[in-house]
Amino acid sequence: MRMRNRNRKGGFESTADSGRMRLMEATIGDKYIVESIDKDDPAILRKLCSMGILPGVEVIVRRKKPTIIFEVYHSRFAVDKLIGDKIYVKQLHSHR
Amino acid sequence: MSDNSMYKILLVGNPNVGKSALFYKLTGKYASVSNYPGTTVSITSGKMSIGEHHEVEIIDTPGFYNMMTITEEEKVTKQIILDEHPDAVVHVVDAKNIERMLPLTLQLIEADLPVILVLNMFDELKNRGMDIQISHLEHDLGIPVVETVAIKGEGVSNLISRITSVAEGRYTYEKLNVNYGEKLEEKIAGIQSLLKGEYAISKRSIALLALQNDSDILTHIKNEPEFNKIKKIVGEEDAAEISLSISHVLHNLASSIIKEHIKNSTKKQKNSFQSFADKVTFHPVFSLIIVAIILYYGFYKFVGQFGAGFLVDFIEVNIFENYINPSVNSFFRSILGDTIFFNLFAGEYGIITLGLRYAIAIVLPVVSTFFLLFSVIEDSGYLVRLSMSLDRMFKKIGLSGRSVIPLILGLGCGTMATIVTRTLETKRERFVVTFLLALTIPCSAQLGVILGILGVSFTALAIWFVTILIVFIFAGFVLNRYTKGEPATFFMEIPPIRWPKIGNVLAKTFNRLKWYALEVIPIFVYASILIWVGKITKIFELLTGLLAYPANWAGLPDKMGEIFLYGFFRRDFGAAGMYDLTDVMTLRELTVATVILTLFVPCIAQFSVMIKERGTKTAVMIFLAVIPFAFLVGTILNQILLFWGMA
Ligand SMILES: Nc1nc2c(ncn2[C@@H]2O[C@H](COP(=O)(O)OP(=O)(O)O)[C@@H](O)[C@H]2O)c(=O)[nH]1
Ligand SMILES: [Mg+2]
Repeated sequence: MRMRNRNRKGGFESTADSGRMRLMEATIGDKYIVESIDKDDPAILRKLCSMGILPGVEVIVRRKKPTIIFEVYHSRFAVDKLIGDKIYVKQLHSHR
Repeated sequence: MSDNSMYKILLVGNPNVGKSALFYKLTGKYASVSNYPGTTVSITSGKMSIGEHHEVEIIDTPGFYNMMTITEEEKVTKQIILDEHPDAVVHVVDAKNIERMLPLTLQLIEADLPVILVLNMFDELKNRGMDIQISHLEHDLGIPVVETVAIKGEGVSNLISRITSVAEGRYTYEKLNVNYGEKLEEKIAGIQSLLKGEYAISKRSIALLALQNDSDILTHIKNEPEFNKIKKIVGEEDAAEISLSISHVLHNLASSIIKEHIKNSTKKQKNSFQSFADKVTFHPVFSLIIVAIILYYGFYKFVGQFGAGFLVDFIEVNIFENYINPSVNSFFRSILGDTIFFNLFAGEYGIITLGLRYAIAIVLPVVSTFFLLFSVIEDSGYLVRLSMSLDRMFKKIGLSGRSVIPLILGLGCGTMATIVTRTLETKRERFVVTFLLALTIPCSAQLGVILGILGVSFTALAIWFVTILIVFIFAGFVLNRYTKGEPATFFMEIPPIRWPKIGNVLAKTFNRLKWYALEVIPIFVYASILIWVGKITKIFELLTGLLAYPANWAGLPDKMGEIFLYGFFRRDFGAAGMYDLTDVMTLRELTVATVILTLFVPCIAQFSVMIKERGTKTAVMIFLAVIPFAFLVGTILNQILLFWGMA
């Protein structure tokens, strides 16, 4: 509970700026890059770090229900909403 | 090192990269290979000969993501690195994911360990049209790099020669330097200069881990004379922030090294089987259909009807009742006469005539069919999908989808499942799952008996099932409510669906059975001696007398008290006793009795593992909570069934 509250506050004010969004809000199948990771829960942060899910890394969301499934490098991960909400992404504007 | 001393080689790396498969190729010894993270929960060690003079000890370790450890299985590996002074550390990675896994290699290099990097699953990398220039990578990292396909044995001989040269000290490492930026480097240097002891890993590594507030390292160096100063430096910084920047530096370095030497294909070759399997197993409706198919054909048809039905009947009647028991009885009668010693081995409750008969005729067929089914499901990678689909539901009782794995394994053997709870991330989750395993999950020996007794009536079986399910959910809610700690979170790497390999499935099943035979059956044999003593000294009479009271409350005959007591010491006693009662008890009594027997305290083997894994206090507490609860549920169920008019 404690964690969720803090998270919600941090989350909404900042989603306003340029295309930053939560993993949950990403369009399925599109390429994004990890913009930042919430630091309020050190255990989760460490877990994500050691899996190589770090700012700057490309992600593709494959599914949102029942758990979030995303691809990073050549691996796929399943996370619940609590962890998924710690990951912020932004659209990758590559060649246009 | 003298010529015939034993070198110690450690296999480390992320879960599910093929460490155990490689271990098998190196040593010829089987360590559980499976397609889901978290099967190797303890170390396995084996020997390999190199040349004529050397024997090398190879150690397979549980999965390991980072020197900063999170789960207990990771801690196991870290402790070995800190304590064992390995002569070579073989870091196994999934080649196609090298970019993500290389940071750990860098950490191991920084720790001054004799690292060898193995790019395993090179076949899967090639299948995706990728390639890696090994010799360039070797040059940049300054360590030996080897490509392998563990399941086919490709590259293994090359790896062996590399291991030999590293262990013999013939390889010259080029030390790779990582720079974490001025500010952090200053802190690292500060701590490094305060460290006076001798350690298995470099002081720089220790400093890095300490700065991230790693509890194992802080415990490891707590005897340092300047420990308080070190703690002070650590305390000045935000550990999470430091973890993030360290990971960042390592990942950037890894990417920059890899980018130069990896060839990505322009067009992706899709494995059509895998993408089809993904579609089906991720689909909300189809995945449920798969669960139904597995439950019906796997559990009901294969384990239930074939294993517990056909095989049990065949072995029990054709082999034991007709041949073995009569001759064992007459043999022991001829040498021991009609003494109390006769009853230890033969007769109604003898070790051979009942214990062995039970182990071979009833438990073995059920356990082997179950383990075979479990191995197939496990090897396909399907268990992870199941964990994923059930995560939401499990969250309601405070568990994550990860706990699906030990709970299902508990249907085979609760003792093994209690050990596997190590793969769960929090102490809280490990406790809750251990409790639920002890209370609600029937092991295959029990399942065999229950199916045998209640199989005659579908209604009775359904009542049993629903009752246990309700208890499971209820206990889950209560435990979730009153256990301290944060609720579990779910995070899992999803392996691709792979065709189960027959050889591996058989080897794994065989190994689980071997474990069962070596670890669990002996405990039952000791227990039978205990029962025998308990009978002679009349202690058991007292205890069964006591247990007869709650049995009566649940509407059951006195004799059930005896069955409950024996059921704890040896499942077979309890079950065999139940079989004897099927003729005199009504269906309602049998239903209530099987429910209590399922909920009642686990067997002595599981209890001893509970003590080992969770500590005596917790184990005893679970034990004492389960007994009254089992009888309470039985009593309530009895009343409901009476009210409902069941005879
Ligand atoms: N295609 C392919 N699969 C492999 C290879 N090595 C292991 N596997 C499979 O990968 C899975 C994980 O292997 P395992 O040895 O249990 O990994 P561990 O967790 O690191 O011990 C199993 O399904 C293996 O059959 C390989 O070189 N190529
Ligand atoms: Mg393994």
